[in-house]
Amino acid sequence: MHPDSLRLELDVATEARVGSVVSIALRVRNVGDRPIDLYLRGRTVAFDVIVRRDSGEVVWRRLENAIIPAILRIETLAPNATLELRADWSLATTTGATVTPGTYAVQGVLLTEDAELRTVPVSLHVSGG
Amino acid sequence: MQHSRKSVARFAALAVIALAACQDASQPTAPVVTPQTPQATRSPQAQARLEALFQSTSPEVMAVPGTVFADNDEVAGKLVFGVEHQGAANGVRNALARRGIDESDYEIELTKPIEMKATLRDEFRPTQAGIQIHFSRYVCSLGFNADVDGQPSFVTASHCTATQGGTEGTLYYQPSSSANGTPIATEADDPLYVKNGPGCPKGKKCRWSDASRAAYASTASSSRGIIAKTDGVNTGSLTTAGVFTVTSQDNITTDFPIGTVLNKVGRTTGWSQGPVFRTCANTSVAGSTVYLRCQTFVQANVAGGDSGSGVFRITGGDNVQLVGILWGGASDNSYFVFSPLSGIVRELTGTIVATN
Repeated sequence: MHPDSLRLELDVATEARVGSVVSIALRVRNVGDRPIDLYLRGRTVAFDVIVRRDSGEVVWRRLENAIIPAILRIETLAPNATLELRADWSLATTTGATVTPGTYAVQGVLLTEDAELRTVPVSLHVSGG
Repeated sequence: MQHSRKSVARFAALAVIALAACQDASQPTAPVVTPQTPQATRSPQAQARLEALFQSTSPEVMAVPGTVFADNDEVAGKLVFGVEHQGAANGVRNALARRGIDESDYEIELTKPIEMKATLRDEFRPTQAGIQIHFSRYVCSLGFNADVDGQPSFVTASHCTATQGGTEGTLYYQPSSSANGTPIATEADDPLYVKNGPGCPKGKKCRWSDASRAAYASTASSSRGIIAKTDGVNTGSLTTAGVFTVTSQDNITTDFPIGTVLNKVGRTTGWSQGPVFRTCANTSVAGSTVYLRCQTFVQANVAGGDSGSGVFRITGGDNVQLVGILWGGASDNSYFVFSPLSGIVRELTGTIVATN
């Protein structure tokens, strides 16, 4: 794999209201000029989404306590091709409580054979319902 | 795996014992310091003569069993032959004498054989437990070789088949189809997951094990009763260094006592070892509706590609007892989960014999 040829980005709304569901898309793009073989964890690709408060405290993780098949899936990404992975966040904490209004940082994490590839955190403002 | 001895150029740093041809060949001698005559001081004619000797003699010399390397040592101004033992040294000496080579034109050194270092991701024939297998677009580990009602087979995870649950004839390659395009085995037994059975939660499909069996092709050789051993535990090393021997298999235990130290060898994180911290736990699998009953959790390293690894208990030295098949773990790789053999023998058809 050539991490320098990969671009990870997280597509998530910048605003949401308590009680809604936020759609999240993690996109992995090959910006190089050669195909890249990605060795990804899971039969269905396992990726994490981490939501933190401004203080850095983690309030939600998509894969919190999840048990994932320890298999590697090989995805060949052609030049300029994009792999898109989607998830929803119901604005609840890991324990199930509704989050309080405020600003949160959302980050995507792709689990590969060699390393965790992380997106730049995206800011999400949650307002009261 | 091809552990091959190769003739290679000599490394100056090799610790070797030089044997002068005129000395008593039965006793290794103290190192002989070869005068380091600069090559520049040797005439081109002398260098050409030595090179001609090297070209004409090395094929015959390297055919002598126990030879390790042949080198035209321009600095020493001699041919240098590395050998494993005295018998080989005598053979080299005789071969050179037949060609009329003067003893002053060569040296013979005792050296260790040079072996290719294999990793769990290399090609192994015969196959053994712990090595990489590949099918469709996935990579897993070979759990263990076994005879099942007399048929040479291997057991790996159920999700290490093209379709998890149901037997569809997945073709397996080792280490990968690109490295060796001849399949080693075909999926032979992967029981269906069952919905609405006793104890199976609504919306889930259940089994007692994430395990399947593949039958070896007649052309593929396999070693039953051994597991590849790497050169360190909990180091992540994938370099093999011997094997574990499966001397028994635990087909009975469902509740492994907390604290029981168990091991696995897999193609991604190698040999890892740690204690059981959760036993006979019914477990949901992320990203699916699969629900596995009575699974065991072990505090030891794991990562993608280790699925299918055999799990075992060390009973003494390199002797081990097989206890299950690893199939999953935490996203932070801090623990793995395996299906005990008790659940595997309950579901797979036939009598599984995995011992040496």
